[in-house]
Amino acid sequence: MAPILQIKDLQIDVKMDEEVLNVVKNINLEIGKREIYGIVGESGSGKSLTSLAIMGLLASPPLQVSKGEIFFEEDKDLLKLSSRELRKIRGNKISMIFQEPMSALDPLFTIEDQLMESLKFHTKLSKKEMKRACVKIIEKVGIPRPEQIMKEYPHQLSGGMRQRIMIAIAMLCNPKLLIADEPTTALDVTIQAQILDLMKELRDDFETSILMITHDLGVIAETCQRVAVMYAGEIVEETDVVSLFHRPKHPYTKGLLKSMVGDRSDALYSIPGKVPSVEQMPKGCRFVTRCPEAMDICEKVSPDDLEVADNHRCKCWLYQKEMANHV
Amino acid sequence: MKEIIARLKKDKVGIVGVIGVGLVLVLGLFGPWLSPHDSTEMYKEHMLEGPSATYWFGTDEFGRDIFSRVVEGARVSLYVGLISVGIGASLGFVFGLIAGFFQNWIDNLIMRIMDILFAFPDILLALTIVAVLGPNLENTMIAIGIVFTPVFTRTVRAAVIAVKEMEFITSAKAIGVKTHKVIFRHVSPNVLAPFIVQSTLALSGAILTEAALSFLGLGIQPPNPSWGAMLNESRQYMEIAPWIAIFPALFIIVTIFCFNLLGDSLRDLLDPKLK
Amino acid sequence: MFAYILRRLLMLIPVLFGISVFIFLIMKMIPGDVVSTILGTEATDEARSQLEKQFGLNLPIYQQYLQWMGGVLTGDFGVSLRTGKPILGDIISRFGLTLELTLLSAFISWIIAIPLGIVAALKRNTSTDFGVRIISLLGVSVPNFALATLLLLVLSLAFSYYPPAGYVSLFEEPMKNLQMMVLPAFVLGTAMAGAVMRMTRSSILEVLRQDFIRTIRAKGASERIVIFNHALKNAMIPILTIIGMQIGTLLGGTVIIEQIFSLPGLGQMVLTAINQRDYPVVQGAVLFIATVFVLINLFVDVLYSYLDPRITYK
Ligand SMILES: Nc1ncnc2c1ncn2[C@@H]1O[C@H](COP(=O)(O)OP(=O)(O)OP(=O)(O)O)[C@@H](O)[C@H]1O
Ligand SMILES: [Mg+2]
Repeated sequence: MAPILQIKDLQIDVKMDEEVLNVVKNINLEIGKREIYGIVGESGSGKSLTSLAIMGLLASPPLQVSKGEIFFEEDKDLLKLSSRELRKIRGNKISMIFQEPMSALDPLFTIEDQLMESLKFHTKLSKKEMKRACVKIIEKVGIPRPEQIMKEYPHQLSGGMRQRIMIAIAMLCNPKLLIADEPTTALDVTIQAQILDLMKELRDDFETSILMITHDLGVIAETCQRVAVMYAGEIVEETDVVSLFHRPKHPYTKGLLKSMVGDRSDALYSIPGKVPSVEQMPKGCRFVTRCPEAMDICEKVSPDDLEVADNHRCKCWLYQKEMANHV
Repeated sequence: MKEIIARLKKDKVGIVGVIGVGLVLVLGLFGPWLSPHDSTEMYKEHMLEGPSATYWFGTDEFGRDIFSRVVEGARVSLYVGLISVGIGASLGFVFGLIAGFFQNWIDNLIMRIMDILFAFPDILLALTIVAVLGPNLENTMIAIGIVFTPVFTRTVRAAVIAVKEMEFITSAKAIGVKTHKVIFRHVSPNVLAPFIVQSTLALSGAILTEAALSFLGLGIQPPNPSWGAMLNESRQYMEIAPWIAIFPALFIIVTIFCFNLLGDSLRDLLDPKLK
Repeated sequence: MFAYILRRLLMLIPVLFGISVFIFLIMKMIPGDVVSTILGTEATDEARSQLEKQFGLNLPIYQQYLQWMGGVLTGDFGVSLRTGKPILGDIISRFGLTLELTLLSAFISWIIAIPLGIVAALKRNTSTDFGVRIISLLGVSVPNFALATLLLLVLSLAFSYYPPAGYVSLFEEPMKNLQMMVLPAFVLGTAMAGAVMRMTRSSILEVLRQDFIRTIRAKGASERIVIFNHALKNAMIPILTIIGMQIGTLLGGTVIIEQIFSLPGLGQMVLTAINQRDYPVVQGAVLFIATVFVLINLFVDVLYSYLDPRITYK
């Protein structure tokens, strides 16, 4: 089946005072129709930047896409579209919800205004029809008494409610792709589960593909079919969910999994060290500073992103030993 | 501090401000040695003469050398500015510290009084106070000092409250350091940054207010030169002798501008949040 | 909403009370007494005590205050020492001009400042931004009387233009009135424009950094909609605060500007009264101006809560 979104060799740089530093690199992935695709990684690994690049919403300057292609619906390279063409897709065929529901809505406008706005940009419906569409979508995201909610301001709603409104806004124009950047991180556990269920339900009803960004492997396990693991701006491993949890290859993924389950007997495991900052990125493999299995070669040369099993890519020297000996 | 100076070096606007303020300071401090004539001496046969080799900025309607008067005016402006900001800042510092630290009825009382002072437009307040006390140099400075007290009080109070919330203050108190010691050891240095910025800006405000009062005839009294007064006197003759208006006006504008440039850069440097 | 305004008005009472006490006390601090000012030093004791009685000066000070305040509250500000005319009538007839001048200046400053502030924010750290920063600093730095003097000088020397003399009110001859007011209003407005420009720039930048702006962009909004429908409306709240504060500068500025342009407004009235030592007039007019300033700030506050739904009227 043809993918809905295909990212090829995406690279994002940040322009500092004088120098240009790389923040995201070698991103390759494909999201199929109706698929929920996960990106998981620690804070600062470049998940948000990748998703903003898809939306064309990178804050530039200082951020810029310096290389790569992002194909939407097979033929349209989003990076080559004019800003006007991109605006037609944004909020319409591709929409996005953000991490912080508390600050993601304009405090000075009613929920109704903020919902209607989307429709105004992308449809030619009459006011009445728009209103009806809004009511319908609010019901759809599981909020009772839509008429009343529409008259309220964001500060009058709880975090979970606001996130539902965000989802409503995102789903309003029936998008082909929904990018959810840590949609549940700021919510408490029960609400989190409800929101995830809602998203799965919407995926089924609207046939929308979802790019689910999170740092929580639990969310991945619950929702996704395929997963990419990001570390320091790169995808280090990419496979289906089952393989990822049962046959992880990359030492980083293994570390993540270990820190997730954590035996009851001892304290939760965490990967030692910190993500290297943009200025101090290692020359070779970016994980080398924290890797328990690091070898000499890892410090010097960056490994390739190779298919190490069926449908399973991994970027690690451990699986490229024959090649390592040649270098 | 070193870091601030390093950053100030990069900030061209700030440098222009520093240089400008420096020049005005030099004028003010070394004025008497710089000016070729006495600022009140009347050269009767040289009335309303244009700029020349002897009278660089020309002469006024009494035949006084405008350059010397402008230089002398710089001294007056700076003097009034510094003293009146000194008055306002000291009062404001004390009131602000007290109000911010205790946050009880004293705070309430102080802040309500400041509210009342704030309810008057600056010039009007200064004008009224000078009118009551009688127009002269000292009273002008007192009046301007009072006008600037509320701003300082509020700045200091806000900073004190912000600092008080910080952890190290609570811990200092917890280990039993006396209240007033806490204030002076910890709070004062932290209040300093906004205080310095406020002082620079207030200085330009004070110089401006003095010029305005003198312009209205209620500040510095003749024959002492003040830029404001000179500008006011010039209005009668400015069509036939534009220089008597232009030079004092230019000096007021440039001086206040440079102080504002400096204050503005300092604010950006010391409080990046406002950028 | 109505209850909120009412409550705010009630809260003004102590402030206004404080203001009136302050003015009253400050006027009492005048060296030399009013009586000798009027009668001269050689007046007979009898004449003096008669006048003292007339002004209530023989009463204890709090009674004097109560007498004055009682009058003020019933619309009697007393009479001018010079003209003997009731003060309030004079204040009201002159207030129109000052209000017009203030509003016109405010308007001029906004149409200069807000667009420039937006442009500066959008072109942050470019030469345009730098230019706007310098303009705004100049606006703040150039004293209104210096600008007025230089402007008049340039206009007369270069264009032989003199502002029309002989004040006419807006209602008599609107065109001529506006002609007279534009120059003084421009001079007053520039000072305010500087501060408003800076505030506009920084608050727009602040708003553009907020998360919800990203949401709006993600909906497919054009930059125009992002800026004008959302960023500006959100930025308006801090801008309004600055505007409220600047109104005081404007009101104070009228004292100087009315003098320079010979406009018979409230500011000129205060100044003349100060020069003539007509203290009841100074006292009344200053109280009036301070009250207007406080009321304008209240109005701005109400506008504020009208703009921002997060502020409750409780
Ligand atoms: N405007 C910027 N200028 C410089 N560096 C930036 C900028 N925005 C992001 N970065 C850097 O890019 C890296 C990736 O950021 P990103 O926001 O994509 O992380 P993330 O994976 O989404 O993390 P989180 O889980 O915290 O949301 C970070 O290290 C960050 O420091
Ligand atoms: Mg993120």
